[in-house]
Amino acid sequence: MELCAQQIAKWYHRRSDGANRFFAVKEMSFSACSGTLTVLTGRSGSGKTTLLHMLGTLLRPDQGKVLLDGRDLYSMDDRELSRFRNSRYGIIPQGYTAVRSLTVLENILLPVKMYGRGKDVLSGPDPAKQEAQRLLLRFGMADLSDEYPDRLSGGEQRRLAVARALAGKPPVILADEPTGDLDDENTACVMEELRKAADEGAIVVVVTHENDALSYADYSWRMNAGYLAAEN
Amino acid sequence: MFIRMIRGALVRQRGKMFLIAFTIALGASLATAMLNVMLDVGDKVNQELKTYGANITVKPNSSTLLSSLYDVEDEGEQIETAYLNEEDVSKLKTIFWAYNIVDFAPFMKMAVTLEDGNEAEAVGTWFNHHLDLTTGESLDAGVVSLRSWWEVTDGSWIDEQNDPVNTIMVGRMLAVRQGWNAGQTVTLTGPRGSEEVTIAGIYDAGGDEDEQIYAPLDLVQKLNGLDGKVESIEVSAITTPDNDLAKRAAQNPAALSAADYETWYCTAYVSAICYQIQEAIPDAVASAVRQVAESEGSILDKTQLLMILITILSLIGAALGISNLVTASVMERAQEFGLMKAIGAKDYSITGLVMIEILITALVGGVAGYFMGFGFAQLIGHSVFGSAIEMKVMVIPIVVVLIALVTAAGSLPAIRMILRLRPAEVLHGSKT
Ligand SMILES: Nc1ncnc2c1ncn2[C@@H]1O[C@H](COP(=O)(O)OP(=O)(O)OP(=O)(O)O)[C@@H](O)[C@H]1O
Ligand SMILES: [Mg+2]
Repeated sequence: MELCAQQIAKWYHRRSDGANRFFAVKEMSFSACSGTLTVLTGRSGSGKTTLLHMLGTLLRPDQGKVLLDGRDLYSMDDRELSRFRNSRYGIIPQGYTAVRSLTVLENILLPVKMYGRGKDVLSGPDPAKQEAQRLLLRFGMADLSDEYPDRLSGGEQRRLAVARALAGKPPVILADEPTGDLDDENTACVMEELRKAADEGAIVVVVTHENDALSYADYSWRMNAGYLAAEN
Repeated sequence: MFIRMIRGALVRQRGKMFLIAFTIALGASLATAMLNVMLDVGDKVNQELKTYGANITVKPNSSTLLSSLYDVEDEGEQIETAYLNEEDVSKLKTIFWAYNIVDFAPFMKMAVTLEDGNEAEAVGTWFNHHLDLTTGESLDAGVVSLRSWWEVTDGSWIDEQNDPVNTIMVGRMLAVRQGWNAGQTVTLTGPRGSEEVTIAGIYDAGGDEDEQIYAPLDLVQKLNGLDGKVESIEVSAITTPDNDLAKRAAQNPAALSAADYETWYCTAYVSAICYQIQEAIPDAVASAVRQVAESEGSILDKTQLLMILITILSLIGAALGISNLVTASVMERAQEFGLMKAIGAKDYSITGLVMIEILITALVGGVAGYFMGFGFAQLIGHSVFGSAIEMKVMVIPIVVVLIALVTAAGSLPAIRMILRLRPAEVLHGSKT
């Protein structure tokens, strides 16, 4: 499987710039294959999140195409794209995100349950649930599974988001600063899990500021004011 | 999980949801109250207009009065007012539109002295006067049907066929003041002597009649010595609503062209019927009293219009209030919805979620509002109309539809907002 961006660009019109376009992402191509972990670094405002959103079906590029396995993502309508996103993508957004009326475990299983994929819970062991519990244990949050997200610390919420993206074992995982406010130990845990997902065949793209992350990467790129440059 | 999400959202946003429910309850209560009052008062007035039936009065012609005045002077006798003859009353059923005349009753009023020296007004009339007409038809005419809305609170209506002529009915107020009951015998004194009479019933007319005595016409004629005379006749006729022709004819039938006259005469306009009554009863003037009913009708229309306006305005207000609250509630959760989209939720699953939340809230508010409206209606009924308002079942579906519309309209901006929500815009790293 290959995730492939062809000559994509995203621009905004800024009030101060008048009619001039401000390019959040300048025309670029990018690709990543199954079983690889790609790290994206760059200064704040350099367009990392914008690129990740475009790769993740969340933001339509102003130019170019994004293909997953040869399929043009932005040619689908909302219904189709939503289902597609649900079944193929595990997205870890920047910042804190959780549905506040669901418990930690329910939040983690929400993507799996959304289209009834986890319906066979009663008949036999549910692999997603087992995976969720394994991840919680791994992230040191086993006793928090029935808590509500507002009770969690910032770092715990980040790990919740990571577990939510990984539990369903999607073929594409896009992580936007997944280790943002984690201690070294937890950062290592999260990076190891992302690495594990890649080893199991997923396409993993991680935006990060941590230099340590580079040691888990197969490829690493650096964003610089909308430009993408290979680092190794 | 879906249910838990809805419940969770409802609980977490209970303050806002309570306000939404309250807004809906206010709208629903006003709509309920206004609709019930409107329908009930409309019914009441309509019913009275129907039963007030008497839409034509027949009186002696004033010119006869004048001529009799001159006669009086010439012959040096006492001044008399003009009267109609009781025997002419049944001629009403001989006119062209006889079948449209549903009911009628002659009247004769006089002052009588009671046992304790007080005076009261006695009205002589027919109750259920049996008539065998020359056409072979027979009917019972009189106030029993012409005043069908009266309530006999004690005893019963006079039955002319079986009760003796010395039987009377007494208005509620008068009966209370005199301490009279049905079955009691009292003495009435008029200019031509006294009569012992039995009270057949006490009635509640809800008007001036509650101070009067209603007696058979014969009895009143005996008391004031005017045998075979009546002062006026009330006629209840089914009429065709007036049009231009009818209005022109009412001014002067003679001015109409022959063809117009024919059309007018052969249509049951109230003016045509009046004209024919005057032809049938000598020296009588028949006039429509429908104008009163019509103006009552138009006041009623205006009141109803006002109530409809109040209802519409309050519903618009409710819709605006709801739209603010729902929008705020959605805005507060924009990031959560953005996340759900990022996880793969379809736009309409999220709108569905919000709609269900609002529907549940609206249901609670609507039910509470209906009962509040019930209270309002009774309050309005007692303070404005002096009677309880009957709650109509048909109001429930109307209120349900109105509330559904208002809620839907109120949720529209929020729904639009959800549809426009771009996960990329809300997932930039803001904090929960
Ligand atoms: N909706 C938008 N409208 C206008 N400008 C935007 C919008 N979204 C992003 N930008 C601009 O695009 C640029 C890139 O934003 P982006 O979020 O991709 O940065 P980033 O590299 O993720 O930064 P950080 O490391 O701080 O998260 C920024 O300068 C930002 O101001
Ligand atoms: Mg970013």
